Amino acid sequence: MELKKHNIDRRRWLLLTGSGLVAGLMPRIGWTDGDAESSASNVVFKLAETGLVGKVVVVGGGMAGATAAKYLRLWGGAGLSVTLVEPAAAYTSNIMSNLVLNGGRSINTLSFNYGALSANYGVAVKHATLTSIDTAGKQVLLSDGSTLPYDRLVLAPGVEFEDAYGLTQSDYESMTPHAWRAGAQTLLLRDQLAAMPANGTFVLTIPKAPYRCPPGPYERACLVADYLKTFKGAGSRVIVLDENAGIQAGVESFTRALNVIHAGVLSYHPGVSGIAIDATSKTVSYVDKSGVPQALSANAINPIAPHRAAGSAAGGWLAEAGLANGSSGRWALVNVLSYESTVKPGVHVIGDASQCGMPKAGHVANQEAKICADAIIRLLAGGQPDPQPVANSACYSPITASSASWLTAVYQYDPVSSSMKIAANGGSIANASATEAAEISTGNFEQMNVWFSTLMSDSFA
Amino acid sequence: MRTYHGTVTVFGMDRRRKWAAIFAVLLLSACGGGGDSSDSGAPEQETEQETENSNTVPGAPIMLAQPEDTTGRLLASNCFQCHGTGGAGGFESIRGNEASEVLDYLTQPASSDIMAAHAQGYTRAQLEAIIAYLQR
Repeated sequence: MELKKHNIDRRRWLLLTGSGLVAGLMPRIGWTDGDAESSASNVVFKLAETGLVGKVVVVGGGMAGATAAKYLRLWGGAGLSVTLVEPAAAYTSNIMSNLVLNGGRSINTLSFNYGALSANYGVAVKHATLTSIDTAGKQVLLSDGSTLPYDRLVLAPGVEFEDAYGLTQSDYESMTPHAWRAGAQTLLLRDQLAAMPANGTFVLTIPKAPYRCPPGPYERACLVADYLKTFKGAGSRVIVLDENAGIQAGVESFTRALNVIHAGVLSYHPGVSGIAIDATSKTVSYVDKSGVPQALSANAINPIAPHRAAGSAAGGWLAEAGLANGSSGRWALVNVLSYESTVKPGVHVIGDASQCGMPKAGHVANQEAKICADAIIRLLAGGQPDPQPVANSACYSPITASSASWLTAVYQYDPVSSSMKIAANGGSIANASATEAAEISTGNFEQMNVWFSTLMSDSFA
Repeated sequence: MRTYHGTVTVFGMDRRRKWAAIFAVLLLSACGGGGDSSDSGAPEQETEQETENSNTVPGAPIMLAQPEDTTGRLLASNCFQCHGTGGAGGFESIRGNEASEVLDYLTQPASSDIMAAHAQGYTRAQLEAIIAYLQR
């Protein structure tokens, strides 16, 4: 019915225009095509005329860093010099990368380069890695030996993955991929799935929160179960070992997926500990929530390894700069009005590396970046950050190859606790919780594609 | 720009924005043809309209000015992940006259529509600041 309505629109459009113009425009005005490359926004806003002059260095070109660089220029104006430091030529989106595993998407559709940030907003892009930060001298040292001075520094380095469960980085890269940073490991896991025997066993492990993308592991378990029972037999098994006491996000949808949609294929074991994985023999041992040791063999193992802010391990650049002052030294504590470090003035940390009380996820990182950019512009102009920022999270999760659920929350600043709190019922933080879709549907799956392409355009174009 | 049509149908709502959407498409196309900045290869059409805006070339983005009054801007930027930078697209444009439609979602069950869930996370004053910004 929706498509029919859409077709009427198209016909009316054709009737209205009826010229050669249509041929050039039609490919861009239809229903979403799910093609990330063609999702760049057609509308670009001129840089604000603020008269502001200053230098901002943004480190890390993921969701948070790209958005910060864009909005610093867009809202700060041409006098605000913004340099984005990022070693890679393009960012590969983690969002939607679970759909590469079941063949629903090509990984190429998840690639976003920095050309639009330069062309549309005048962001200077420096392909290098950060070596160290001189917070006293207000400059960063890069891998190519150069230094960049700053008035304000924005760090959006994302996460790094720990050697865990007896596995090393080399194991993740060649045998048991975590595939929790989209790229080569995503393709390796996809290939391992494709090579699964009939009615085989797939084991997925989930680390203790906080980890990147709270619903992500459950989404992946669903998609793998869907793929295996469709292509590898109804006797296939997906065993989820969760170090947490229960499902971390999207409880209603994922419980339904577990008990109804993927019943018999998906089995969920919360509260496990002592996970040990042998990558060669593909065996897993663990202690179940009752304290009983367990062991199992698998055809493929996907350990979502515990992670921490990039550079936060001993000797890492974030730790060396004194910025890894969050829980267990794994994250950077920030003031959520500005995302400025609680210990190092002039240095802001956004995205997954920060400890800000909101989920580590791309949509949220985009909004953290805007709050941070706005605060920096106000601070450079001699003002103060917005005292009442609001952030939001929207997240669509595929449950099968063609259906999805969603989970969303608005976060209001609570001056009593100086933190962001979920709000509902007219912006109230009293007893508010995130909202889940009432249904798992194909309509949600279609909306998901619009959400993704628009979010990526808002961040990278 | 394709999403103007998607917006009419995405939420399955009974709003009739087709004409407004088509008008918006015409307006935007008149400002430069709306080329993607990517190399997706869609051929650009040379049109008379494109020459009306000297800032654009075929394939270049359409340049729009931002409101000078930035009150409500940071709040409104919460909308941009799904409605495009400046609220100019995505699920649907929410600029101008369409900005106030967010209020219609306040009475719908939150779990029935992601937009309803979102709208109900803001205070009335915040929604009015967002609307005012998007109407500038």
